[in-house]
Amino acid sequence: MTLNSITGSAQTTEWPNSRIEAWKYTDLNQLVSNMPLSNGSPSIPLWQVEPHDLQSLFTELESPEAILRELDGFSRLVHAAGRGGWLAHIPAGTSSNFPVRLTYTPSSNAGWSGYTHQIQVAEGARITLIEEFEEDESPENLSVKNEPLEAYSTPVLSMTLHHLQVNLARGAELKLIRLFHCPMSKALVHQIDAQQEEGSNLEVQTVVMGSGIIRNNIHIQQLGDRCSSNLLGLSVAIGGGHLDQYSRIRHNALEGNSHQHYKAIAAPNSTTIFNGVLRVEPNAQQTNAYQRSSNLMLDPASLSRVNGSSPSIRSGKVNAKPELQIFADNVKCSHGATMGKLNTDSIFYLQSRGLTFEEAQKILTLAFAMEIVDQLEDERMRAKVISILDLKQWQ
Amino acid sequence: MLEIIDLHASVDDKPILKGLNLQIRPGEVHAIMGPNGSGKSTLSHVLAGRPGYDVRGSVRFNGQDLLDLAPEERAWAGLFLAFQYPVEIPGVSNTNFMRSALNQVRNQRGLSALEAGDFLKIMREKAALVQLDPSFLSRPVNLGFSGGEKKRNEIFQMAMLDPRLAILDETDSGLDIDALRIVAEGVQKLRREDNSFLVITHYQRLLDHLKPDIVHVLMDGKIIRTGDHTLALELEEKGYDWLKAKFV
Ligand SMILES: Nc1ncnc2c1ncn2[C@@H]1O[C@H](COP(=O)(O)OP(=O)(O)OP(=O)(O)O)[C@@H](O)[C@H]1O
Ligand SMILES: [Mg+2]
Repeated sequence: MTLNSITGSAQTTEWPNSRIEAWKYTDLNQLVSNMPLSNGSPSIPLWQVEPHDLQSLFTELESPEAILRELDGFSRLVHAAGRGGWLAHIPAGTSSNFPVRLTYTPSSNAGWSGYTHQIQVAEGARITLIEEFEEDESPENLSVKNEPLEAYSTPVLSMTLHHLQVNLARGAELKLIRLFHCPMSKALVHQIDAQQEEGSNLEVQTVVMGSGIIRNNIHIQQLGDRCSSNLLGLSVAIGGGHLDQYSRIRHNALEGNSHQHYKAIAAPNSTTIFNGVLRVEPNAQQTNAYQRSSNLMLDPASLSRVNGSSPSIRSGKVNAKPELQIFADNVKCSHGATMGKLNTDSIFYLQSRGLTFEEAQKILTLAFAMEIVDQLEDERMRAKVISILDLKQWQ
Repeated sequence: MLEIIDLHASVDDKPILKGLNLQIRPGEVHAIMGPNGSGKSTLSHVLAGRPGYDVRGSVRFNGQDLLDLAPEERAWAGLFLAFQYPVEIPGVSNTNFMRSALNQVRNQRGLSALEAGDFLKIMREKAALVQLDPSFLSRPVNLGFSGGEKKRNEIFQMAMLDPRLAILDETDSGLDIDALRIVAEGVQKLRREDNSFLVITHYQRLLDHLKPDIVHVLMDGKIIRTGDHTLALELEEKGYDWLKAKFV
């Protein structure tokens, strides 16, 4: 099955591609056009919920059309894949102290597939959802050698798209804590489309890591007054990884709050992207919005050596772009983006005590990452992220 | 132990060390004095392998060509520099830093990594030697330490790593009178027949405690005078001008 045969000729929305500003660095259309739609049905379920009081609220979604809402290019693409996902309606009065944990099965087939999910949190309900999207190293049936696509340094053989629709009713509270871990030759793309009613509170904490391709979109609309949205993000791109985090928060009501803090580490040969769009509509008076992105580019060890420079390895690359569109006058918005390398004096200080360049780089890089890791609101997730980071080779 | 012959170093084509010669034998304590900007810290940086200098000349350290080694290899070989301006490293605790450093150095010297308990024991012992409050061990490296606390932390690290040659770059500056005595006593306790010290200082007080075997005057990138501890007293009394006059 090819893409055209599913979508027919009635295609009115463009698939996400690099001519669209929001998709400038990650051309989904190109990726999708270069691989078949995966037709193998997973023998094991795509997602699993750990035993929990609220487990039964998460049910299989039969037909994605039933919940089709935003018709942007991405959601159309996912829907075109025709796969279901999960559906959760969290009733009023729910308030659990324990998070619900979802784990997604790595894709085992070549090609791309798309899944749609939806969570609705009813008035005043509170829930925390922890999701792990971990792709494994390519199994044998994926080991066909493709040429890497232009713009990425690794060939991509398998890609999974997820679209999550979020509805928060008045006073509802949802915390999402997610890990995306993607090895070389795989791609993960996730998009949240969230709508918030009055006084609701949405928190999304995302760690993306790996040497594959990851695109993480968070689209939030504050429709009711006094909403708050908190985004925390960490990207760790290594070994040719291409990690793209995108946020778009639209303040469309009074006294909204939003707070975003993203950090990214780009190891040699790898790339990270952060694009944060903040839109404050004319009626969104007394909005308080804050956005900060700090980015670290790592040099290859060869650069630190007098005689061993290797031109084939480049330093990590970072793109960071805050985009503020403010149409209300009585608002407080601040933003900042920094980009830099590790302090050479710090590296030298550590080396002078006997640590190798690689160890010094690792210690300082972990210290940079820990500012975000420490804020992850789940002990198990923190431990997991730290253990993965500990094993990473930064060179 | 250390033999420096005709050492030149420049930064961005600006010469700073201009043909420096120095020899240190095992067990000796040498002091280097000299006016501000004469190149003392540059000498210490070049010996420790800090990048950014254009270096010429020869430096032998226990039979090895020091200038060929990466900074960490110099540390493994037994060189230690107590920085004039120790670097603050947020997010990295003193303990973890020292554990990684000591285990790497031990590994390179053919010793096994320390068990957690043994490491902590050694760390407490060495902290006590320089009377460094144990609370500093769990804090990020040098972050928010006062000037004197940073210097004490340098001597603590020196004690941990047990170097053959320790260069102390103005470790006495910023220390109060008691701290100065503690640091000097710490250094005295670490003195052995097979290790040496190169102490860069502006003041007689530290030298009163340490009793250097040899005192050098570094001026304009060269050692222009070498003598015994009485040279330091002479400098204290007369300043550098009389040497400058002779030197020009
Ligand atoms: N990276 C650099 N770029 C330019 N000039 C430098 C650099 N490093 C050192 N210098 C210059 O070289 C000279 C020697 O500096 P150095 O720090 O070695 O002096 P010092 O003898 O340690 O002085 P002090 O007693 O004040 O510590 C000074 O004039 C200094 O400005
Ligand atoms: Mg100096």
